[in-house]
This record gives sequence, C-alpha cells and structure tokens, in this order.
Amino acid sequence: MITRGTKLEEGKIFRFSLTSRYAHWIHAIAYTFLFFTGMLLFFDLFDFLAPVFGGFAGAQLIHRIFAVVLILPGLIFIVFDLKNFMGWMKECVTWTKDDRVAIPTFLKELFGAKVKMPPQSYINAGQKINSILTVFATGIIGVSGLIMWFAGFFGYGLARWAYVVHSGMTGFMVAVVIMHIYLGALNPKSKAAFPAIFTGYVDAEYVKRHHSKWFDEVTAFKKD
Amino acid sequence: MAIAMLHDVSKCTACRACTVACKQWKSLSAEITPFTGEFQSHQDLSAKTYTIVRMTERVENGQFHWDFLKFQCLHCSEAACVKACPQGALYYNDNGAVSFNVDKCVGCGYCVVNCPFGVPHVDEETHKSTKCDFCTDRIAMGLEPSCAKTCPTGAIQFGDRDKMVALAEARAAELRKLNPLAQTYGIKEQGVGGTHMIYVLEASPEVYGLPKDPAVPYTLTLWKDLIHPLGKLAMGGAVVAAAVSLITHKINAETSGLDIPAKVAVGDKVSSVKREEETL
Repeated sequence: MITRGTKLEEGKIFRFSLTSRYAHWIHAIAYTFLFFTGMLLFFDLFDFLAPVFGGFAGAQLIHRIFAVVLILPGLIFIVFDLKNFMGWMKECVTWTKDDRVAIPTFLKELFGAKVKMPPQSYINAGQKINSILTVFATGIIGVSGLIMWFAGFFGYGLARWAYVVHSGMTGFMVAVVIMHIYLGALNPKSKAAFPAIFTGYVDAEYVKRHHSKWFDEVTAFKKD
Repeated sequence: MAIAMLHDVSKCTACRACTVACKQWKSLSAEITPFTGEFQSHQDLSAKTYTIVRMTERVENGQFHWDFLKFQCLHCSEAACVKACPQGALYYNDNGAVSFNVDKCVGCGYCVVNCPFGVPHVDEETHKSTKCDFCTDRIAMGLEPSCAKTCPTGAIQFGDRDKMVALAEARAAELRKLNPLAQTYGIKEQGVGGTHMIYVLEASPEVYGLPKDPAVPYTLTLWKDLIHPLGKLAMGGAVVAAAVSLITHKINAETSGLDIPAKVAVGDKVSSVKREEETL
C-alpha cells in the first residue's frame, strides 16, 4: 500500500515519501523545460523566449535532454518504491460512490458555491484523475515524441500521426497542469496542503476536512 | 503572373547538366556517392543536391525501358511544407514558387516529414531545411532557373504557367499518337492544388517514382486546423478557470470570513462526527 501517514504529531500527518517528492519535482522541472522549449513551435506567443535557450537550435537540444530526464521519475519509482507506485495506481483506479459524487461537487465548489463534499480517502477524486492522466499522458507524449525524434527510423507515416498525438496530448495536459498548480499552490480552499510536497507532512486539520476517510485510517492506526 | 517549369521526359537524355548547373549556381558541394552498378549516381535529393535525374530501368513485355525524370521540388499550389512550417519560413512567392526564408527556418523538420514527394532535407551542419526555390534570385533578375538555362535538349522549359500547361498538354497529345500512356503530371493533381513543376510523362507516374494522387497529408490538416486551436483553447481555458475561481474565493472570503480550524487530537473520528462545517 501507499506510504500511509503514521505520525500524528504536532498536528502534522506524513503524506509524501521522499521517493514521491523527488519523482514529483524531477517531473515538474523536466515538464517546465519541455513546456517552454516545446511551446516555441506551438505558440508564436512564446517566440520571445527562444534566446533564453540559445535560440531554436538550443531549445530543440534542451527539449530532447529533458525528454530523457522525464524518464527518471518512473525509474525512481520502479527502483526505490515500486510498491508505493503500484499502490498509488491501484487507489487511483478504485472509484467509490463518494468519488463519483465528488467531481460535480468539486466543480461547483471551484467557482465559489457552498457545497457538502463527500468524504475522501488518501487521494481525492480529482487527484485520482490527475494522477492517472499524468502517468498515461507522460507515456503517450513520450512515445510520440520518440517517434518524432527518430522519424527516419519509424517512418514518416507514423511520425505524421505522432505530431497529432504529441500536440493534442500536450495541449490537454498543459490545461490539466495549470489546474493542478492552481489547486495545489494558489486555491485558498486547498493550498494548505502545499507544504506536503516539499516536507512530506500535511496539516492534520486539513486532512480531517479534506481526506476524512484517510484521517480515520491514520487515527485508527495510532490508537492500536 | 504564375510561373512554371516543364520537364518533357521524352526529350530528356539524362545528361544531368541540370544537376550540375544547379550545384554551380547554388554553390553546393559535390557529393561522392558509391557505384551501385547502374547509372543512377545520386539515389535521392539531399541537403546539398536540389535536383537529380532519376533513371529507372524497367522491362515490360520483354522490352527494356529507361525512364528519366528530373526530380526536384514540385512547388505545389497547396504545399504541405508551407502548412507544416511553424515559423513561416516556407512561403508562396507571388509567382507561385514555394520559397523559403533561411533566417526564419529552425530546422524542426516538419516540412521533411509532411512533404508528399519527400523533397525537403535538413542540412546537418547549418540545421536549416533546404530545397529548390526555382532560383528566386535569377527570376528576380529576369533570368530563367539555371537548370532550364543549361538544358541542351530543350527538355526543360520555363515560363508562364498557362503557357507551360498548354505546351505540356499539346506535347502529351502528340505523344499519345504513338504511346497511349503519355500523360501530363502536375496539372490535374489537385490534392496539392496543382504544381508549378509540370511533367510530360511517357508512362504512369509511379514508374517515375511520383505518387499517383499526391495530397497534403490529412494528419497535417487535423494537426494544424483542429488540434492546435483546441490545444490553445484548453490552455487558455484552464488559465481563465483558475483566475475566475481565485477571484470568486477571494470575494467569498471577504464577505463570509475564513473558517477557524479546530484542534485535532489522536483518536479523533471524523466521519462519525457531524460535518456541517466541511466545505471541501
């Protein structure tokens, strides 16, 4: 199972293992570089950034370097904490009635409505969607990118499709990431959990309100 | 005025003077290629070779055919390379030639992958895409392209496109008297909007390595006309949604005040406790 919170000290609960945090930040840094270097060919709006990467040729090189770096988070999980990763994925595909109700409720809450959120477990419904999309999209964007990189080897017919998939998936995932950054770091309702991705610990009060099912698990564990 | 080049294969002797003239005018270095047992010295176009003569050896009904074709950029009226180029480096000249701005090219290779004829090549050293530009500089001076100028047999003609089309059709009609397979290429090929490199062929296009129905790849249309706008919409939409949400919460917090967190103790049970205060 996932590295569960085992500590309830000074109002803090352990949420993210060192492996998870490293995987998250390596992914985030690589993704940031990939985003800005990739956008040079997607959005004329970003052309002014070209000199930052040493022109377009430099940007293309950096894009390929960080494409390789993007493999690291997956490797880190497989080497150091495969159990954690599989537990995470298993939890992400496990959908309860509470999860199904949580999505429309969350959308109303996002735009200011007062709502009653169904109790959520260690990963809430939105995080489940984000996790699955991130893992799968990274794979799809990675494979299509590899085909574009070695178009001569894979054949131009396949490369033409790779452009469609690479761009489409990126456009969609950037939207998902923008919402992820907003909810994790800026949204007044959920930003209280932001320090967890740096320190590993999350405020217990926050867990009680936002992940009550997990809170029950943690406190029950401590009682034994 | 639209311009065009016409290659009449029935007049071509595969002397390759056009290739040499092109190399000379464009200052392109020679490429030493291995001997493969046939006259075809250069198998394909490259970043340093903008035009070649394809020499296809073919035996049909016991008869030997040697088919020559001056292969180069066909200068499509609806060019996949122009559509694929993210930097606007490839563009249409007023005269219909597909020209390019070297300074704008970033060497991404999108034109290479999407050209239905396999014409553009990215130069490994300069990291720029290259191809025939119909000698834009010579045309500007009122000259014809170097290959057309040098052709000793008159197989290469150059001029007004309407005139070239008329010439090609008249020549094909004349050839059909003896050879029913004689046909034009580049006039009826509407998948790429017709081309400005027109051919008079003595057999089907496939014999010369030309696609029968060249077209802008549908994946390119899908990518540029649907996926790109949708992707931009998704990104912009996410930014707008986040901003609206943030502003809404700020306004709500000012009017109703923030929740005061309660103390949490070991052994607390939440789901059994009343949950009115929970908002998320």
